[in-house]
Amino acid sequence: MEYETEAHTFMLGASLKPMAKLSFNLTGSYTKGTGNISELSFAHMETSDVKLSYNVSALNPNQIYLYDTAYINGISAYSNADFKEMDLTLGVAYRLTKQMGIGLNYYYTDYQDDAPYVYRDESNTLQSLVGYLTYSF
Amino acid sequence: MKKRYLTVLVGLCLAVPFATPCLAADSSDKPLQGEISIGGKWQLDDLDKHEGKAKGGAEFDSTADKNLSWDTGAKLDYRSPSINFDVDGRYKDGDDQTYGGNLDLGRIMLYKTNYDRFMHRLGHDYLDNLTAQIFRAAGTPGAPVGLPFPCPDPNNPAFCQALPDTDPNTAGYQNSRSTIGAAAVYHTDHDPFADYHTTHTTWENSLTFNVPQLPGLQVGFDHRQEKRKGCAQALTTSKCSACHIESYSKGINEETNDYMPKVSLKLEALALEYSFLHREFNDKSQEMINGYNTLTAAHIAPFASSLQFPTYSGTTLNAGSEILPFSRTPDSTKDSHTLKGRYDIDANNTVIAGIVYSKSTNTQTDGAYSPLYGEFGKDLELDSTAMMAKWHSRLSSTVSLNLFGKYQTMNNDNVGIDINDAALHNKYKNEPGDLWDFTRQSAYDMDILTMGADMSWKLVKGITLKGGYEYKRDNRKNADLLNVPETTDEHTIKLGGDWRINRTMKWALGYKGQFVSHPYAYKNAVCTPWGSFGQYAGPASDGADYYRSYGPTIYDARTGTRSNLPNQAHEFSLKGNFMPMKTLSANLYGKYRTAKNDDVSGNDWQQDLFTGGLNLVLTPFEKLVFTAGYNYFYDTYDSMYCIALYDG
Repeated sequence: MEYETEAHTFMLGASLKPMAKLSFNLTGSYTKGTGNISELSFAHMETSDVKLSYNVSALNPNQIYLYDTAYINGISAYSNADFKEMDLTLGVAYRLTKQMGIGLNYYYTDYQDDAPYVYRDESNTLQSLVGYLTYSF
Repeated sequence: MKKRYLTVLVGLCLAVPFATPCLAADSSDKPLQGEISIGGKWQLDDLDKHEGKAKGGAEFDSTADKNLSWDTGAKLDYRSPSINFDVDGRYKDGDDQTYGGNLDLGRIMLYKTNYDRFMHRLGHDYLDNLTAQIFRAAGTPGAPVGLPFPCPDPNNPAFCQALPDTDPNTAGYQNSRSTIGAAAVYHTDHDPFADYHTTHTTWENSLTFNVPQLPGLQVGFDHRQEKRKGCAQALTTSKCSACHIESYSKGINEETNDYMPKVSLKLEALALEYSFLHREFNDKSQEMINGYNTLTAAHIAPFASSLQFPTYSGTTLNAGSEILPFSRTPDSTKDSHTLKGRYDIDANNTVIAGIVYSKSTNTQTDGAYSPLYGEFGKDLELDSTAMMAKWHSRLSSTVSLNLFGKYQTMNNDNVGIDINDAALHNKYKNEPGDLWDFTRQSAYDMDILTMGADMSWKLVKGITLKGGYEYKRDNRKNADLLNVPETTDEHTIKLGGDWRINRTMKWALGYKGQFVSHPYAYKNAVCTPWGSFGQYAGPASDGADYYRSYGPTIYDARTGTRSNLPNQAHEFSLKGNFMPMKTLSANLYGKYRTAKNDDVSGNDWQQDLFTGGLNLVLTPFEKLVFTAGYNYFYDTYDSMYCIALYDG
């Protein structure tokens, strides 16, 4: 059996201060991760009461196929992990006076679950705004 | 000092770049300075719209399912000749808070505290994959004909009603019941719509007194508290076959407290420190119990049920015997004494030595003897004693040498296990010394010896060479009983070097080799590597003697040795820092590790791991900064498994 995991992460950032009172910030990251099991092989084992691919849905709609050792080969696909996540942040800050400042940030997260596991599809897109007022002394 | 202050300030601004403007640090010399930030978060696209997908992208964000939440913070700093203190804090919601503070009273009393709380969203395993069955044998192979099939366990109707689906009222249920064999796996989720999460809280305190009358004498007391509260999924399974996996929601309430008084004395060349640690772990979580299905009557008579639980009087189930605890963590304590010393022999030679004695105790095993409830009539204890010493010598202005050694011995209590053998059939008397009773001897009964040396040589200006050797021996006292190697010898070689070519370029290279004889392995892990496997021989004539057929063909067929640790590993590392131009700085890193174990049965265990990355900072002019980075991770390993398949 071979188990393989791989991840790529890219990051970008920029900050700009065009004037003493004003600044802009940008950060972004993108991650792609995969994992899989391969070279897993179980032989079909004939026993008295097991039939591979014998469709019994007419008898039991909840159990279409009977159990067979060869079905364990499905672990290879079932154990796959494949996700992509992108995070983006944009921010602006402005100093109103020597003591007071304001700011606004935008957050974006997109998580794509391309191979759902037992927790089912966990894909999400999240967006939020954060505003704040600061007072220094 | 100014540079360090600037570094810390820049670090803080990078760590929380969007929390506060960080526009201008007030450099005035006012004794009291501070900043208050009041803000709020508006969740434009929240988790409520994605029920059942609660974790992705928000695993540690407690506010992701709230439309509006706070985002406030404050910091305060006061400096005077006799009193200095600073506090800071950030509050987003009840499950996301951080506070910290330092107090200095004339350098006589120093107090430091940190408090942090965050939420961890957990997944919900819906158990969808845990549904399978065989047909009841119809006498002719390949003829899965529905035959009249009585409930395999007449004493537990609920078991039969649950097969094969969690809802016995479904249309297909009545028909399917007549065709199910005794071997089946099925599941019941008792709280299928639950969302799970836990909140982690850590509070650390450190109080230190410098005794003015005795310079060098320091008395202190540290405290660390960690809590985990919330709700998590707890799983349990009946004895297979048939495997009934059940899921419950479990209230989590765990608390760990560390209390650590300490005293230290620094004289001219000698420094001593003694500390005592008392740790208490208390699990006040919901106490889970489950009524387990009996072993089903097998599809091939006369293979009979009941080995360990439930219990029977004749053929009648003893009411309540099927109810047992699960998903419980025992309360425990740990007491540890540590004595450390350092002596500067002269300007070029230093000796460091220490000894640690600790006792870890499982405090929930002293009830009346009942192995199924984890009660063994006494507290179970693990003793450990460790001694270490290190000599550092600066042999010349360019060469330094370290010699070190460590010895640790551990001893864990034995536990007698009394199996309730075959009460139904009364074949074996349920008394100590019966066929299945045994004494559990621990893998923690072992001695570990480590010794080695490392050296650093500044060859020429800008080039430093490093090398080291370490020997480690693990000696396991119960190796024969546990079917693991008695002795593991590990030799580690480290080679490296730093090369500072000029002010704009610096490289570091490293190599680490590990050569291990008899790494930790399990000697009866897999079937014979040439692929043969045991065939189920059918039940014994005596329905209680499981070992006659199952043992020889399943357990005894495993004679191959496997391990997931290498007997040979090589690791290469590279780091580079360079500034090709004044506005651009870059750092590059990479690590490759290849490891294998060819001292196992079957194919070699093998691992290849590579990590690497490049980070760039570009500052075209003072008011504009670009950063970019790329990191890569790759890990693969080959192994061999042997999985016993009994009726699937």
